Amino acid sequence: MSISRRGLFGLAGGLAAASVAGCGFAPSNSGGAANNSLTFRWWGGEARNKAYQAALQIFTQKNGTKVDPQYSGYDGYFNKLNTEFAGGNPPDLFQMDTALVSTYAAKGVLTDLGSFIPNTIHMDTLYSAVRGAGVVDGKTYGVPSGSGYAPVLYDKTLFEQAKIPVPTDTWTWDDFGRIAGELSKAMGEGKYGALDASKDDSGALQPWLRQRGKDLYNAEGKLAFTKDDLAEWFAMWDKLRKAKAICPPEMLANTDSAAGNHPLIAGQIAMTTGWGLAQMQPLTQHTLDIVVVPRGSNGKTGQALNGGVLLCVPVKSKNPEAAAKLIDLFVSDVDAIKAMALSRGIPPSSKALEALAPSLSAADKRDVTYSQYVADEVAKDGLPPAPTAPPGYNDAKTALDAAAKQVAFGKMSIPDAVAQYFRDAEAALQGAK
Amino acid sequence: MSENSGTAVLDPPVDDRPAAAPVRRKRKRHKHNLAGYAFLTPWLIGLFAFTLIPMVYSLYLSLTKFNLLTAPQWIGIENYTRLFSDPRYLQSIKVTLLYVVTSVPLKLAAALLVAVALNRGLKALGFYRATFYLPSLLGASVAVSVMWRQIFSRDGLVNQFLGLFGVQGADWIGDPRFALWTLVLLSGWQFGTPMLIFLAGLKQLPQDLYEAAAIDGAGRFTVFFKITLPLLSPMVFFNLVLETINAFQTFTPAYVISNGLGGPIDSTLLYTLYLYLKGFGSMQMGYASAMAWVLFAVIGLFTAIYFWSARKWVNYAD
Repeated sequence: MSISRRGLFGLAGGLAAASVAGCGFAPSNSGGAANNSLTFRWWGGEARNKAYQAALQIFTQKNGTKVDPQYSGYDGYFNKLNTEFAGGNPPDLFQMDTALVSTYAAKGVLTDLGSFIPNTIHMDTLYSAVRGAGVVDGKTYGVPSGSGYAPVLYDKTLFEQAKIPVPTDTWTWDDFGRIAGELSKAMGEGKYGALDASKDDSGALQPWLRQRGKDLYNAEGKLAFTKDDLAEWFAMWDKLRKAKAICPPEMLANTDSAAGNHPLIAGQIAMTTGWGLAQMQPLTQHTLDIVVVPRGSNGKTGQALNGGVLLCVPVKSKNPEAAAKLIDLFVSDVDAIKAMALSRGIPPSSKALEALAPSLSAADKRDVTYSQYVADEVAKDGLPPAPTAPPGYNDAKTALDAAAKQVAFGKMSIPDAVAQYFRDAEAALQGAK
Repeated sequence: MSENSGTAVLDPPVDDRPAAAPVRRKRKRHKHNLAGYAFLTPWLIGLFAFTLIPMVYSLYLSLTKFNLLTAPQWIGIENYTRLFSDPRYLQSIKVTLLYVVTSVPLKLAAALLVAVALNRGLKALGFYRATFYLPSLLGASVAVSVMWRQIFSRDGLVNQFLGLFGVQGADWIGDPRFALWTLVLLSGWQFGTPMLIFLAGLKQLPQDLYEAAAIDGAGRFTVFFKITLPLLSPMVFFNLVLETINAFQTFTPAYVISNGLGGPIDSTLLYTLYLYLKGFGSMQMGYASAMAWVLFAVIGLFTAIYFWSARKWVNYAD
C-alpha cells in the first residue's frame, strides 16, 4: 500500500516489522463498548505491539477500563479503517498517520479533542514543536505519540571499506554529491554511493526547500514552491545520476519497506534518506549510523519535526472520555512511558525522556542524542514549523514519485515531468477539499 | 435453462385437456416451484446480499462522488466522462490490453502443448498431471507472487543462472521495459486449469479419424492441425473465454510485484490495481465504481465478440 512509508519512520523502533505476518485484527467487538471498555486500533511491528499492550495493562489497572487491542501491519490498515468508518462502526481510539490527519479531519469524522485539553490530556508536557502535529484549522484532532527527524542513514562499514571519511553534521548538498561519487568509484561495478532521493518528499525535498525559505505546502494547503524549484531539484539529481553517483532507477523497486531486499541492506548503496536507525540496523550485520540531511549553502538544516504517529478519536467513538484518558496515559504517565521506551519513536516530551534516560540501550541513546542535536540545530534555523500535510497529501506525494521516476528512467524531460507533477499535485490538493 | 426446455417438451399435451385441468396443474406446479425456491433460499440470499444488491449499489456509487467517510453526492455521469481524460487511466487500459492479448495466448498454448504431451499414454500420468497443475492451485496466492519477485529480482535466480554464462541480466522487476513481461510469464506458468480441460477433451476424441489419417499417411503436424485442433475447438473456445475474463481481472501478482503501486512508472498498472488505488488509496470510491462498470462492459463486449466469432471456427460434434 502506498499510503505513506513516512508515517512508519519517525525513528520509531519496532516498526521495522510493520508488515509482520499473521497478526490480523483481534475479533472486533467494538459494537457494544460500554463505559468501562474501549477498543484501540493501531499498526506496528512486534516490538510496538508488546509495548502498547504493556501500557494498556497499566491503563486498565489504574482506571479499571478494559481495552480491546486491535492491531495489524500497516498494509491495509487504512483500507479496513475506511470500510469501518463507512459502515459507521469505527474503533473508539486509533493510531493515525500524521500525514493523513487533515484528510480525515476535513471529512468531519474525527473528534475535536479541545474539550479534553488541558483537564484530561496534558499537552503541556509535549515539546512545543510537536504539539501542532495533529492540529488542523486550529483544532486538535490528534495527539502525537512519538516524534523524530528524517536523517540520512548510512552504512558505516561500507565507508570504512572504501576508506572514505563518514559525512559530518555540517555537510552540504555539494558534499553529498561528491561523497556519493567517490563511494560509487570505490565500491565498484553495480554499487552506488547513494539512493536516488529525487522522489523522497519529506525526507529530502522538504528540507531542501525549507533551506531556501520555501516548503512543500503552505498553511492553505497549496504547493509552497515553484516549477523552477522542482526543475532545479530534478536537475541536481539528474546530474548525480548521469555521473553514477546515485543508483539507477531500476534499483528503486525495493525501497518502500525496511526489508532484506532494500538496496542499503543488500549492500548496493551506502546512503539513503527517509529511514531511521531503529528499523534498518536489526536487518544487517554492517554498522549503520545516521547524520543530518545535507545543509543548504546558508548552513540551514531545513529539518521539520515529524510528529511520529498520532492518536485520534472518531466522532462515532462510543467512549470518548476513556479514549482521552488513554491518550493522556501515552503522553504523561511515567509508568506507561517506561513500559513503551522507544518502541513508538522518540517520546514527544521532555518528561518522558527524563523518565527513560537511565534505562536506554546504546543504539537508543544514539537516536535520542541525534534527535536532540537536530532539535537544537532546527532552533538555529529560525524557520517557521512546517504546516500540517493538507488533505490530498497522499496523492500529491504519489505524483512526485511518478514525476521523479519519469525523469530517472529518461521517459520525460525535466520540464515535462515538472508540468505533470504540478498538474497532478494541484488537482489532488484541490480535489480533496 | 434446462428447466425451461424441459417444460417446453412437456407442455403440448397439457393444451389438449379440458379447461379446468391446466389451472390445477398450474397451481400444483407453482407449489412445486415454491418448494424449489425454498431449497434455493440459502443460495438466493447469497446472490442478493453479496452479488446483486452490491452491484446495484456500486452502479449508484459510480454516479456519485463518494470518499467512503461522508455521504455520497450525486454528480451524474461525471465520473465516466472524467475517466477518459485521466492519463493514468489510459495507461492502465494500455497495460491491461497488452497483458490480456499476450498472457492469454501464451497460457493456452502452454496448456495445449502440455496436454498433448501428456496424452500419449504415460505411465505416471496422474503424477505429471498433478505436478503441472500445482502452480495453478497456488495461482492467485500472494506467496507465488512474492516468490516470482525474488526469482526476477536483481540478484534473483534468473540473473544467477544468466551469470553462469557471463551474462549480466537486467533488473527484470525494476525496469519498466520488462516488469509487465514477468507478470505475463507468471500467468503463462499457471496453465494447469486449461490444461486439465484440454486433456479431458483429448481423451474423448474419436479414434477412427486418427486411424483413417494414419492409413492416409498424414504427418504428425497435419494430424494435429487438421484433426486434433478442429475437434478440440469447443475446449479452446471455452478456455479462451474463461482465461480472457480472468486476465482482465488480474490483481494479486501486479499488486505484490509492484509493491501495490503498479510501478516502475506505471508499467504494471493493471486495471484492477488502479481501481483499487483510486478506491481505497485516494478514497475516490465513486470513480472506482465507474471504472468497475466500464471493465464490466469491456469484458462483456469481448465475450460477445468471442461468441459471435465462434460460429466461424468452433466445431461442435453434434
